Amino acid sequence: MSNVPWWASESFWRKTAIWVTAGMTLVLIALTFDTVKVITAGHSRVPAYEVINKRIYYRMNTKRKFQEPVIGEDAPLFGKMLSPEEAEAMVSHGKMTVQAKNCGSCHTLLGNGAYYAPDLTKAWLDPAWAGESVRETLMVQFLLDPTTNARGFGSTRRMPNLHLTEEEARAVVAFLKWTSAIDTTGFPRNFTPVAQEGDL
Amino acid sequence: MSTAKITGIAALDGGQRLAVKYFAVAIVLFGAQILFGLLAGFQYLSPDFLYGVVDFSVNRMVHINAMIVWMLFGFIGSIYWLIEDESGTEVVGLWLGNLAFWLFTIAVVIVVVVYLVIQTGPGQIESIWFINEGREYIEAPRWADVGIVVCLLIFFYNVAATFMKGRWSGIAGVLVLDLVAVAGMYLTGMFYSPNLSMDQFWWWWVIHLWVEATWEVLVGCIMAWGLIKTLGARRQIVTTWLYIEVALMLGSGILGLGHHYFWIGTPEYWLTVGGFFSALEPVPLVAMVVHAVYDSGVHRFKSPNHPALAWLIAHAFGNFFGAGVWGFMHTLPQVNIYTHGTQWSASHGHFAFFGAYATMNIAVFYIAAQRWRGNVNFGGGLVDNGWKWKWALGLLNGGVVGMTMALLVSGYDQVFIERALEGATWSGFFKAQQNVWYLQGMWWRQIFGYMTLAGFFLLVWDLMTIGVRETRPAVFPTEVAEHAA
Amino acid sequence: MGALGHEGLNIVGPMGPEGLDAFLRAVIAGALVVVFGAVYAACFAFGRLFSSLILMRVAYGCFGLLMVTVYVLATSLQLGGVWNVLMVLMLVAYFVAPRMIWRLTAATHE
Repeated sequence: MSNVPWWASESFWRKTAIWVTAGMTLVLIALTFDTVKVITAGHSRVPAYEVINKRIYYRMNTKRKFQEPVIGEDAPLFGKMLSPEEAEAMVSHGKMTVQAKNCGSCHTLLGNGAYYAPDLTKAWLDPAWAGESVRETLMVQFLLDPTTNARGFGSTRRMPNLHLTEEEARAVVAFLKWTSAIDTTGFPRNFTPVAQEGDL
Repeated sequence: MSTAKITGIAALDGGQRLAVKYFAVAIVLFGAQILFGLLAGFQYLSPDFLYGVVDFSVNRMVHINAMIVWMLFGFIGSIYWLIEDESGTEVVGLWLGNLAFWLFTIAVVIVVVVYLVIQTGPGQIESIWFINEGREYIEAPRWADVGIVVCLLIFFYNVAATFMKGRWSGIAGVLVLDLVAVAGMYLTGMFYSPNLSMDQFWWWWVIHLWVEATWEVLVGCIMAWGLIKTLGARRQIVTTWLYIEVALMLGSGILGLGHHYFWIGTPEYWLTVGGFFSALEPVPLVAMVVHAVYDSGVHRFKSPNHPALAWLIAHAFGNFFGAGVWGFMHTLPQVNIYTHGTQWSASHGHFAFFGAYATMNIAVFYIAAQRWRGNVNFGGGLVDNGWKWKWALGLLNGGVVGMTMALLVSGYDQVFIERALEGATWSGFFKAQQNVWYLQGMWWRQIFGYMTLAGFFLLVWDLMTIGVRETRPAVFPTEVAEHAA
Repeated sequence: MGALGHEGLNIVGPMGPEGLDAFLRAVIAGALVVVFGAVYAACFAFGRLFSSLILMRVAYGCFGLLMVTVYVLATSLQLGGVWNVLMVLMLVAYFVAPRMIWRLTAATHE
């Protein structure tokens, strides 16, 4: 056993394993500090919660070569301008409802979840909701009674009634409006948004 | 070492007696995983089936949670199985280990009953504490999270303290450090944030760093011990290779986390980091082929436990195809932007989880069964020619590979119709779901699911009966090598 | 724009159905990269084990196929800049890793 060269010895590889793991962990921690800063709501890639007071466009960025959300003029959700605190509370209530109703066990959000029902990332911008002026009302109606208002596009798959209160349904819509403004680096690829009335 | 044939509990040491309890629950949960997977799969074909009673969301949640927990139970059991042998002393806090086992098991039962009966709650923090957390794989409510961490800490204490009292080894060192990470990573999934990007960023710490880092290392430790014990491999070589494996796996796997940070609002440098490490992640798997060939050529291994060896080989192939081939197929961001969030991920998930972890646990079940039966021969010339284990192996692997292929067809159909043609809209989603190719994929997935279930029943039957009528003692190559070293 | 350089996220050329052929080529090539990598490694190892020149030639043949699949992958995805560097790096890693592991295996089994 003495003729094992140093680079094949147990102690060399023990040290290597430790150093490699520690090194990679340090890089991960450094990147995490930067990423957590960037994905804090209101920073560059993740919108502030009061974005639900604004109109959200989805436009091609020719330089980046993919689409990105663009924040437009005032367009208060359910006709009410909210303070930053009120907006955060509403989005948070929506997020909490999405978790408590286990939406991610049928849907995906940012592409993660189950594949039984459509992705919710761009639900706010989806053409399924007829047009910009009626969508918030339609979305609330749908959430309150998804069985009757099923949107299966010919499929018999229906969302079950999860007994949301009207407040919860509105909060979910607020959460989804906020979600649609996250810069997802072009995911889902090739997304075709609802006709954006008055857009260029 | 087996002079007279001692069977059952009497043949086991303290740690092993605890281990078989974990194995028993693991097998029950494995069955639950398959059952609820079949229910969820059937709902794709017949959406009205159990609609409003036990919806897809509930079945799917139980399906994936049962998987996570049975694998954890399998790993914990495996380590209790080997610890007294490896440390040369009795488990320090066996009663504590037993307590943790019962706490964990009762918690799992309560969580599943609440999943099935209460299902969802109002949009308040209480729902997340007591009903479900609504985050994929870690849906368990917060009270159960706390319980899991407590059980993992007890487990950590038992492992660390036992090795400290008894004999320390390279395997022990890796294991103890890894268990710190197993318990620690889980904490990163235990807070609420209204910010979805932040939520998913930390959620992946639990999912990826558990599954692609700490669990892999656990499996490496179990495998290392298994190689010494069942094939008589020399300890020094095995330990060196455990270190090499840790270096390669964590060297590529920790930052491989980046391939989950492409589209969740995280900065674009993750495309490069994730793409880079994804491209290199299969290289260690490929390189290990060389080691396997070398070993098979240089040593003439004779195993007295053919089913365990067969499942270890299934593990090698499953890991290579499931994680390696199926992984690299869609982890470059240029491909992933189309496939992310489709059945493509489900295809990869089925193959990779089964190949990397289910196979390993089943191999250990067979190692345990052998001792339980009094260390009789599980090699060639079994009484019934071992048809049950051979068929179980074939049906389970065939079933999972079949499901993988079927889901891949459906996933490709989704990319084609939903993403490329229809612009990733809701109507596009449903158009793809109704396409004949997609539906065919779903039908075949279901059929292969039944095949998997058949394999599972056969596996359980075999584990309960294998070697019962066998009298020839197993001849382990291990004793010689171990004492010579 | 960071790491992607001026190419942006150039994914299978134009968006939409036109890119599908390229997409299919890319995923098949991606899978084959790993498969050929493994077959090359296996043939190389058996070639060394049995000192077989034929197996070694098969191994290098497989590596040739691996190079072709990497080329198909890179062109299908219209990779540019840093991504092409990654492809070259990947090829080097696939070529060198089995040889290094062989040496390491032989040395640790002394």
